Amino acid sequence: AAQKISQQTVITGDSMEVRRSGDVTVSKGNSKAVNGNNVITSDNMIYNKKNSLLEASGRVKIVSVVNTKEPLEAYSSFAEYDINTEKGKLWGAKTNVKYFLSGSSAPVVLKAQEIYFNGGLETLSAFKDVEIITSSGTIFSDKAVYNKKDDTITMEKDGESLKRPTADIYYDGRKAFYEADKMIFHASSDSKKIIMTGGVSGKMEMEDKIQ
Amino acid sequence: MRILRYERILFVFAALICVALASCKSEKTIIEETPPMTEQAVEKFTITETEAGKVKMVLESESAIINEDTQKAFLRLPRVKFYQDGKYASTLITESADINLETYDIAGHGKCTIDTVNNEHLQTTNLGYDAKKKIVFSKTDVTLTRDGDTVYGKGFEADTKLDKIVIKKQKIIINKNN
Repeated sequence: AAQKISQQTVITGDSMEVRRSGDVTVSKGNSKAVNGNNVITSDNMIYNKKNSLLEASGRVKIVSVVNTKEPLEAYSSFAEYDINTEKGKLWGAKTNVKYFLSGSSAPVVLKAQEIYFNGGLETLSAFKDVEIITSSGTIFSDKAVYNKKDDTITMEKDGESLKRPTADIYYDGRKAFYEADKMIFHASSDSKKIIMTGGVSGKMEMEDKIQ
Repeated sequence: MRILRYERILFVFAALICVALASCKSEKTIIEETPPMTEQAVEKFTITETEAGKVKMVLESESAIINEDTQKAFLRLPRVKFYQDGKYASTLITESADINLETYDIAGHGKCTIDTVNNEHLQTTNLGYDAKKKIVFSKTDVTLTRDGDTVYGKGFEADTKLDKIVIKKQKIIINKNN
């Protein structure tokens, strides 16, 4: 069911300055905003009442706990977040999202220069130098869309870009490198699967030690 | 010889008594010399502060006790109207206050509220007004309500129209516009 958008946002911090000119509220030091299932923390925040936009800067962290067993954590230097629509954008150095699958020791990490998200971080669209790092391999792409409802990450070319998604995969002593027009990575708590379509090519190294 | 010694003791004793009486008398005079404190009680006390010919602050109080020596007045239920560039900005109400009659600085006591021309309401205790800097401030708990949002904090400083406010340890509750 569509997630109910919370009616209130609470912002706290060390000190706050309210300016009339743009209905702007500047929160300085240990800023934190709680909006429904999303908790945003950062060094500083600016809230603009006119467009309901929250701008966070400095050690930004967003934690979304729609499902307590599988929290999603996003990190970046900058973030924008519309408290009405719960949509936003992350960018700046080390922008990444960690998705903790229940039952899995290591999280799935999505890295990119820009990551757009909607309410509860349920849908993430990542662009520019995208990397999906899992315990069994890394996928590189210019564009990736993560959809929490069906636990999939879809990678494909970004518009006219020539760069196709590539995957470095390693498990049970096998190493493989693939390239394709489109890759869909299924990450759920009990299985991980990747489906490649469109001009799939690549190579695999298999080594079985003779007992 | 013995008579001489008695006379000397008697003389010293009499001298001591004279000195004691003299100091008592002077103490008494000191008390009389302190001028009485000049306090004046005024009902419906009003002060208007202007700057460059424009009204800056109008203070009305139910009653005031003016102390000529310290140039201060203790006000009961004062109501202060602030103006910016001659235009009405806000109204400050406190339970009681002290005003410096030379600088017009105000020290509010007890519950203090400010209501602005933009329908903002600020409530705190022991609020101060610095006439020279044209700011209001407090170090105690503060609540600010504006446009449906509420801000809580501990300590604040603002211009008299609350156009620019700094609130410490704030907690802002923003209600969504659906």
